[in-house]
Amino acid sequence: MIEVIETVGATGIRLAAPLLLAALGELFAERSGVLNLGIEGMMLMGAISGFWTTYITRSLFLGVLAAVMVGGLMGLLMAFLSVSLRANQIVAGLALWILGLGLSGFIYRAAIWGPYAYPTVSTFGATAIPGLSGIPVLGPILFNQSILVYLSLIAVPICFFLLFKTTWGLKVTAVGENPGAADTLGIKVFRTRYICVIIGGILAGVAGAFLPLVWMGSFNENMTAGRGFIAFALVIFGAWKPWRILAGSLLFGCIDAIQMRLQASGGIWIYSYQFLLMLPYILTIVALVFLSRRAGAPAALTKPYVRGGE
Amino acid sequence: MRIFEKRILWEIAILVLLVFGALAVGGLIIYIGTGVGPLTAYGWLVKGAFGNANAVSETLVHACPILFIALGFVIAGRCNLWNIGGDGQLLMGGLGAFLAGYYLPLPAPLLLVAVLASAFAFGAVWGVIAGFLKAKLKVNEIVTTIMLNFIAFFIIDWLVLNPMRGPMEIVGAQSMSDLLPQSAWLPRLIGGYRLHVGIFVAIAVAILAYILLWRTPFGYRVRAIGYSPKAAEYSGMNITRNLMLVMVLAGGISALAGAAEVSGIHHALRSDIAARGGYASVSYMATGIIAGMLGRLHPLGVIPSSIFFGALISGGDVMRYLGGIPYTAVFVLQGLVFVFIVAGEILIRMKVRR
Repeated sequence: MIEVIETVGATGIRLAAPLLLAALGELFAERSGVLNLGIEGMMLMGAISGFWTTYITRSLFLGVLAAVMVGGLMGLLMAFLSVSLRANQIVAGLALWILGLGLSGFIYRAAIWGPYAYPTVSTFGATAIPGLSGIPVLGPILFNQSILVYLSLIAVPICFFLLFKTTWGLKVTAVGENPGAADTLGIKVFRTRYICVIIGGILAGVAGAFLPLVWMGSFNENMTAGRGFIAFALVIFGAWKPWRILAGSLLFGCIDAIQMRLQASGGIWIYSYQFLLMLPYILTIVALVFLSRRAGAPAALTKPYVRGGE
Repeated sequence: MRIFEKRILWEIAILVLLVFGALAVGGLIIYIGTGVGPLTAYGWLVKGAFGNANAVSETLVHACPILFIALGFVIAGRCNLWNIGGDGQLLMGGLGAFLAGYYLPLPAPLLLVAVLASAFAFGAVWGVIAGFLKAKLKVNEIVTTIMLNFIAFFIIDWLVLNPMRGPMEIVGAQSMSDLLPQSAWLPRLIGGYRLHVGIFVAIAVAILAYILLWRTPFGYRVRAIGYSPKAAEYSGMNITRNLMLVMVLAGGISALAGAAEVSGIHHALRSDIAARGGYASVSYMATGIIAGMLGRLHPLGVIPSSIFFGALISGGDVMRYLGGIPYTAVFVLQGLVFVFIVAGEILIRMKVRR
């Protein structure tokens, strides 16, 4: 039994980490007043650039770096469309999603895929933390993970500190709540929004790179399978607060781990594994039904800012 | 004539320019990725889209589900609802179409009406789930419609692998249902080509949707709510009821795309009907959404834009087998068109304000 808890817990955290990273990125964007629906596309671009770079250079570090840069570029494009051009944020996000979907598939087909070989890379291995990994139950779950998992977990307190305990975080909140007033106080509204959306893109890119570089060792078209949108829902579910987003991602990761475990157990699931696979998507809807009426959304979310008003 | 107002001509000119801009960037990306020059690649594309009777037939065959889904997106969009559930509604519509066509003992013309009605009903139910959650509980409809796509896919996938799996001698190793009886097939127009009556149904629905939105009190309410929900509520409109009705319509119309695929093309239910060409990477839904935006969220505007994207898809097929250009190049072109029209919105707004 303990062994089951250990494997499910460890798998759960590994499955939760990319959701967590992407959701934290979305949190930055949304707290500054920009709804970024393009995370799915940014994750896919992060996945393909991370995989491609690692495939060529055989360096996981360079792969993650590429995902950071490409994710950041996607964020820059989103910021340009929604902040500078004042495009409808929902439409701009959908456009980035579909662009990322198409472009990542094309790069894979044109640059990497061959008819006779299934390209793979070796993934991030687990790095046991000396001393801590020996603790029963908690050790294997928390302290025998890959570096990217540790980074995602550490990102939570960092985000909390940045957004809630620093002057800069206060400025972000001001820009997201009332950009006009923030501008009057001398806060650079456009620059703050650009930075936040780009941070969102970077985190989404790394979250995407997680899939080929930690989980799979390979790339599939549309491999994110809606995880970007689940991350988007997690921000609402988490009421725009980092710790609650962490709790939400862990819940999703564990449900996902449990359904994978059940799939592997065989039995009736051999013929009806589809009902296990749909669990995370059902859970997303159920979670929003129960929690989405809570307030907490930044007041200026989805509203483009025009200097001097319109 | 009103249709040739200066403003509309200006909008069309800008949109055409933006599409060409997107195609130029896309041509460059195709060149970098495959080494095929843009003019050669686009030559194949045009040939594959309009070069002969079969090409035109294929263009319209693809335009049909795109148009239905674009209409489902547009009707919801006019009410300020974002219906990103085209895939799920299409799949559910396919299920509805198959069940009616397979089990109802009706003569051919009546059976086809039943097939379409059943598809509409299944999609309407799938759409109204999101409508209900939005209207009653303020649950973000973008998230629910997207999640419902995945849920619908797994349901259909399970059905065609288990209880609804066709007999081995017909389906072989494929995961699909039994074939529909011929009386439930949407009639094909010209012998030897896949073009079926679905595209005319879609155009008729587009015209009906235009009349509904701009010529009836219901349509006026829908657009009023879309423009300003608060003002609409103060003037006594029932927001909840109207939001749900809109999602019934949007889901039902998107679902007709499923009827077109099941009863017009595959003649069986399969789980891959939402994604064309065998690649699960971009579905008719994604294309339908872009067609909806390029058509300026207008039921008549999406007719030419859907045909344009149908052409892109059938042309993409030819680019692949003549030039070895990955099929996914078409998805890049679509994504670029989307980004360009989003960016170009500011040009259109500037002109309108004057």
